[in-house]
Amino acid sequence: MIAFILRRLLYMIPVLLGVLAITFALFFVVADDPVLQFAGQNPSEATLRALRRQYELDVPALPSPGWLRGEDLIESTRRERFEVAIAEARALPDLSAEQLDDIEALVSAWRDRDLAGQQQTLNAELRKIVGASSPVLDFSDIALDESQERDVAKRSIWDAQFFRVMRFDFADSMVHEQSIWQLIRTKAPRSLAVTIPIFFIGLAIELVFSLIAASRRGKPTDTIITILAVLAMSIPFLTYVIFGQWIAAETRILPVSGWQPGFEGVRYLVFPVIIGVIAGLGSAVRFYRAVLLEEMDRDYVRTARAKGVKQADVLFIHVLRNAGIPIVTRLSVIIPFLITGSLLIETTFEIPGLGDLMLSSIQTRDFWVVMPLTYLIAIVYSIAVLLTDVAYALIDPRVRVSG
Amino acid sequence: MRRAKFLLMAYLIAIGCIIFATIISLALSPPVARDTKTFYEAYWNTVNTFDPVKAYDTVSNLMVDQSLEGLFEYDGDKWNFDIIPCLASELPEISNDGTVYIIRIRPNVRYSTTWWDDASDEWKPVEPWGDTPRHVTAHDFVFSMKRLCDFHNSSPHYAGTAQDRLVGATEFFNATEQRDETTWYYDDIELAGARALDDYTLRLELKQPYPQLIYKLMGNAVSPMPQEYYEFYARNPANNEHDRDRMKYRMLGTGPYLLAGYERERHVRFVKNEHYRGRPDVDGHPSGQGGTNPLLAPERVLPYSVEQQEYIFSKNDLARWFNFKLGAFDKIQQIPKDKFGAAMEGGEISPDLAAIGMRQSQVPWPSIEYIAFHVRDHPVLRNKPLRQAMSLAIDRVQYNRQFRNNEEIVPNGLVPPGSFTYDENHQATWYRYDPEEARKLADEAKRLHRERHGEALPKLTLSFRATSSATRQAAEFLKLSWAQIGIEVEMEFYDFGKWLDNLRNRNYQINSAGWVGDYPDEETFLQLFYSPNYAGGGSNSTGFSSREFDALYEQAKVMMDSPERRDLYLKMAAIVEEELPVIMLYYRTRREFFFDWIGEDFKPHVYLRAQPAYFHFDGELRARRLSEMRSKSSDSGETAVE
Repeated sequence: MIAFILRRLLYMIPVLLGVLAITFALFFVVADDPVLQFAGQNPSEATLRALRRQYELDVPALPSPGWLRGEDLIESTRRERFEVAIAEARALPDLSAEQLDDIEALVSAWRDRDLAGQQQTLNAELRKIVGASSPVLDFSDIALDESQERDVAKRSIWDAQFFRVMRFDFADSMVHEQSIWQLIRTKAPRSLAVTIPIFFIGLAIELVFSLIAASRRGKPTDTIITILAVLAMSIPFLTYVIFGQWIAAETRILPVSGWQPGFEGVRYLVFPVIIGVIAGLGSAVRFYRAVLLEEMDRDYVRTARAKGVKQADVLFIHVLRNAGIPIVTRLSVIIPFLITGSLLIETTFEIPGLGDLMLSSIQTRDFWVVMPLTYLIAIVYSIAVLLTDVAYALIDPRVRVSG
Repeated sequence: MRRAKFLLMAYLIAIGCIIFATIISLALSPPVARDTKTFYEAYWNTVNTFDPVKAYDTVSNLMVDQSLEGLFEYDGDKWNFDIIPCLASELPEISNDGTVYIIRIRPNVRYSTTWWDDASDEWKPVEPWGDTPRHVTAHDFVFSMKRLCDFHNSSPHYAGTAQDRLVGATEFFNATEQRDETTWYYDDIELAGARALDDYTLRLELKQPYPQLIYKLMGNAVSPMPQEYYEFYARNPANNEHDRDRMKYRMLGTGPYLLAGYERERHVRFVKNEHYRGRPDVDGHPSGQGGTNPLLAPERVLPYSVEQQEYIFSKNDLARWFNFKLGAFDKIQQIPKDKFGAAMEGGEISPDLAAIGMRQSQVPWPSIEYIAFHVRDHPVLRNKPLRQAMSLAIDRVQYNRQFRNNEEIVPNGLVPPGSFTYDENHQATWYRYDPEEARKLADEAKRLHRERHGEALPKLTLSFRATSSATRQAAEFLKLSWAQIGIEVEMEFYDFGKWLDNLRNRNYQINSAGWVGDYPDEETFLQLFYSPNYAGGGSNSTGFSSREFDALYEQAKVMMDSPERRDLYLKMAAIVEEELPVIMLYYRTRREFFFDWIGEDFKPHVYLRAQPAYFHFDGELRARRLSEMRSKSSDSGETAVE
């Protein structure tokens, strides 16, 4: 058993690295520039530069051989500044087509050349094209002094957002300006306050209904439960939410949405829990019913009945235990989400838990939260799957763990 | 084996008991009484920062507005865009060349003496001074402006207020860039354009005249901050080092309210500032101890009746609306689109909602929505008949009715209401709806394109800044309008972040865009067509370049408001309306829903700060109305708990 657990823990490493790499690629290579969202209606280049520095985004994400030495970071910073100066030149009013062509030629000539120390040459070439009297054309700031070069080289998104995340050395959230651990400490209890009641109440109701349906197989009760379950499954989650909030608004029994700490906050949780339970009921009842029915067709059930065991005992004692593996499998998939929270419930009922945090962080491009949180969710999920496998052996002695 | 049965039964019984206990305790818990002097409002977003140099989004700015004051303010008595002095004692004295502003600071305006500490949830004295009054001085404004120009504060207000405008701002910005971010003091760096001539005289020097500076001086970004206060509180007690982010959750106000509670995901609370002088345009109490100016008639003392404010963050449109209907909020700004039909009937609030005291009010908002042709990079768009045809093909009245709940104003030109030169009788030639004329122009455009490029007019591409179904439906309307005149346009939908990225990199052919006026002066819209503003992702997103327009803009941008400047504005607008680098879709309005207990005559003001101070709020009426609503629910057989 210990060897099995160790082996599975080792398998987790490539899985987690893969999750991290995909998330990283999605957010830092493919996605847009996050600072634009904080920069206001018409940000200047100077403001963006300041914001990028603040959030350590002023270096390119893609690694290259020169990356380890920081050389390409310095060069790309120069290149960016070159591009800005060229864009300013292109935008000068009243440039003739020839002048624009000359600027393009200048750009292509310098596309692959090293820009270090070349600002005077570039200035001279550009002034030749646009005329000495043109304003604001200056390449002087494409040069970086030594301390700036050091500063640029030591910052790298790969370092901040991949290797440091991998080592659990998380940077603070860009939006919340708090550490991830602090955010989890604050928000996980709120998520748990909703998900744990949904889980336990839901499980109780689901088991009761599926046991009733299975024990009355083919009878009207079974048919009604099955039809209701299919109906419940077919209704989109948001419909339950809208209906629930409408009921709350019309009856004035409980708040429509919101959240409050302490006992006073219980009233805010009632509707999210009811909706969460009802929304999950249909698929779970159908699943458990099917699992129970499969077990009920087996020989040992027939034997038990032949021996005169009561129907209730057959169900509770024999069938339920043997149906344990698929039930545990289903529950193990849900358990990690107890901690991470239900994204939809939290956003629609305005409960500021981890699900809400994840969604708002994606919306505000707060990758400093998204990366670590995805990583942590992957870890929790992997561990839950491992524990499930271990639980199989405990529930069913016939199962022996191996490779 | 029997243990499994026992455990299952115990589990089910335990769950049943917990549910029963919850129901009983909820039914027995008493209803929460509302304070009759507290105003409740809900917003769609949380506060990102209270630091005035960083607050940019609508909600953060609105929260900062409740407590901080600017040098000047809009006239809350007239409820228009007239400007009155606020922390300045009079309007600025401007040199003849328009580059030097001398601003006298109002005497005896006292900062609050306590601040609310979120960690301990209690009021604490402002440490550097204790009970000794600390008055606003010109030095505090100089310090604020230095914070604004500090590279490490990365202020979104820096570009519009100081960069390339205030003498020495760029040098200051560059100098701070070279320093470590923990270096916060500025004694060794000068901001040449902002100086305190004495304690109560501020001198600002500009590189060239900037008549819109006065609007910037009304904003939060230059609200005063005493250096010793910043020095004390920006220290991180954990390591005794400077931490500039500590200003994020703290405000030192001179205005009618003080920050009294903040939970990022839930709410912000404000309470009345006992040291407030009574109105924006009066001096502080002559004793220097703070409090209402004795010359002020009692009925003019602000806040009139709202002594506390509670802002609740409610991101979900539907939940916000339902809670508002229940009376949980006294006012909201946006309601779900699909609830609009139920809330409004023939332009008025529906009778059943009016019966419970709900009201609505709508005002124009200097803000435009348009379609921009990226003429600079796309030769296909440098075809005037094409742009004219596309503009004439849009039925803006129908568009407004179908996609904007008839909420917006159909545009008659470039300049929206609220601007100096807006004229409701004006009608720009190409902003009409004339499908016949559009068809003829489209044919002309196609002929012209073939003549110039030797090929048929290609399919055009229009980018949108949202992916929602509402956006797609509106896009479909436009697509159909243009298809009817034989112009094919393909629609692309981006999420807002990607769209911003594309806008910055000029990566679009035709773009659906909007512009919120920063101030009620059409310069804010005309700058969108000034050709140097194309560079570096600037505000000119079309690349429109007209020597005549640029010359007029350069002439007008250094002029104070005058008939001559208004004349130049009209000429510039006429050029844009004729050349059509953009086609207007609508002018935005702001509609707010509220209950009559905040005052039947309530009308929103799009710029005025601390508006609840002006409400004639009747908390008793609210209590009565809520009680009526509850008893109505009880009569219909429902239990009212709250």
